[in-house]
Amino acid sequence: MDVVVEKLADLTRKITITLPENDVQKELKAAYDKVQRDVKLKGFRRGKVPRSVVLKNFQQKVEAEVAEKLVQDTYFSAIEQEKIDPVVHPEISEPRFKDDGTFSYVAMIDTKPEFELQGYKGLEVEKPVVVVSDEEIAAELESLRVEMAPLRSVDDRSIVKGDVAVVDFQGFHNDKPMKEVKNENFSVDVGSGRISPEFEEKLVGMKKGEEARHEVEFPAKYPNPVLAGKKVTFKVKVKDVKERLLPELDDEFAKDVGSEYKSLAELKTTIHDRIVKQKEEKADGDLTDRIMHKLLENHTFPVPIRLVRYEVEEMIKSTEKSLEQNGLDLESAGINREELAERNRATAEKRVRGDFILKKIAEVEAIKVNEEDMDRGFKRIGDQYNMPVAQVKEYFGGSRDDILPFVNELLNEKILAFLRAEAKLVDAPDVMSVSSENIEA
Amino acid sequence: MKNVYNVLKGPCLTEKAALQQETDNKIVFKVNPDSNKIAIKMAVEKMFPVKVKHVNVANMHGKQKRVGKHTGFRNDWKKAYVTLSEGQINFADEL
Repeated sequence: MDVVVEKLADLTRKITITLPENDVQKELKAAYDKVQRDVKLKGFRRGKVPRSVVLKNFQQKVEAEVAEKLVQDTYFSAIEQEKIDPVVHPEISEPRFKDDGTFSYVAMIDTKPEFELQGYKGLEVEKPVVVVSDEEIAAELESLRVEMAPLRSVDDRSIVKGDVAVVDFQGFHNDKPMKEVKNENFSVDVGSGRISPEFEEKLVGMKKGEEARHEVEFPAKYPNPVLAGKKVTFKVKVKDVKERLLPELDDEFAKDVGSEYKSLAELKTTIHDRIVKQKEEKADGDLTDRIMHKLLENHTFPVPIRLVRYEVEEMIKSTEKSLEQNGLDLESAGINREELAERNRATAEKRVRGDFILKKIAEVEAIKVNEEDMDRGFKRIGDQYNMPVAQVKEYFGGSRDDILPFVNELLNEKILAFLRAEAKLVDAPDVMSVSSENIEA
Repeated sequence: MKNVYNVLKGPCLTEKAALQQETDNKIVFKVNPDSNKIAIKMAVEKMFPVKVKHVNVANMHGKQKRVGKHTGFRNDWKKAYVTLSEGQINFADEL
């Protein structure tokens, strides 16, 4: 086996591998023999097709198969022989059977970047202090109150903010009815801004049974792209107006919210705890972001372009997926694929580099995912999907491939937890005042 | 047989034909049943860059085929064994 390695860029290698005639011809012969045994051609009995005819009919197919097999058989020993540590699957190109009986192919690979870890212990990061104000609790209570409020139909007055209106509507754009913009018995929370503030505004003042046409101009940034930036005329019929009977904030209300709350004070404590937890989680996330940011600042080394490209692809895929849930694809949402890729490239590069740094730290600190971590991870998945832990285990037990990204995730979490523990925390005044601007920079 | 292009109907790709091509450089064609050995020789020399030594022919009966209760026959055809004196014909390349 003849291996030639060319260094194209810092991390990109072009490997040309040439295999000797003996091995190649042996493989080819075996492949042709197999075809000759099995093939059925008109005019010939099975297994009696002469070699020349087989050659003429199946050469391309057989050569492609043999080429793939040869590549698989030799690629790994080739990189081992050259002591190359590739990060992604190689791009195999130019597989060629030469006239002298040898076979050669070119593999393009990226190697792992070599770098020295800079200080990753005792990173100075600002830790936000979690503060929950009374207003936040009050706001939470208020929204609970609105949620819990029973609805009562009112016939004799027009819609005011805070009412729920049941309407039939049909949207027209340029006098043409819009198929997607039509609904019957649709409940609108007037004044909540949940549907569209502009639309809800127009409903105010209408009465039960009233019909009207309203023109609504949607802002260009409206989340639904069918409506965004368009002037739509709505034909609206109000079928029912319901007002909210806001309950009093007392112990009775607390019991209505959940039987486990005995008094309003108890409910308040629960809400307080919940907000604290949310904020702490966010603070933890922020902290991780800051640590990663510091690490990325300290380490600048080139990363394999193929990994970055892969990461960008993944990001685009996830964008596509989220669009799909809204019944859209990239095109109809007006997103240019190349632009999206370009925009995501920097983030992708950071992710790839961050991953390398984390892995290196794990290596140096001998952080590994053990049974215990796995069990915890399984339990989390189980909680998420409402499955018993045993079932999750069974699901992953079958194939090792599925589990790899999951193990990777657990490992990353563990490393980050280690870094958080090692980091020097500087108290920051408040969650709110510590915005994410330094992270973005 | 006015037109040489009406003579040869196609190659006869069978075990027997493949064997004879390898051993005796004989090519087997399905030909128009109305054609004779001379016409076949002219047609082969016209269409392929080869020299024909001689031609043997055989009249083949169409097989009896059945469609439900009706029986019928496939067309009769003529098979020509063309022995080449010069050059070769490789059908995989020609067709």
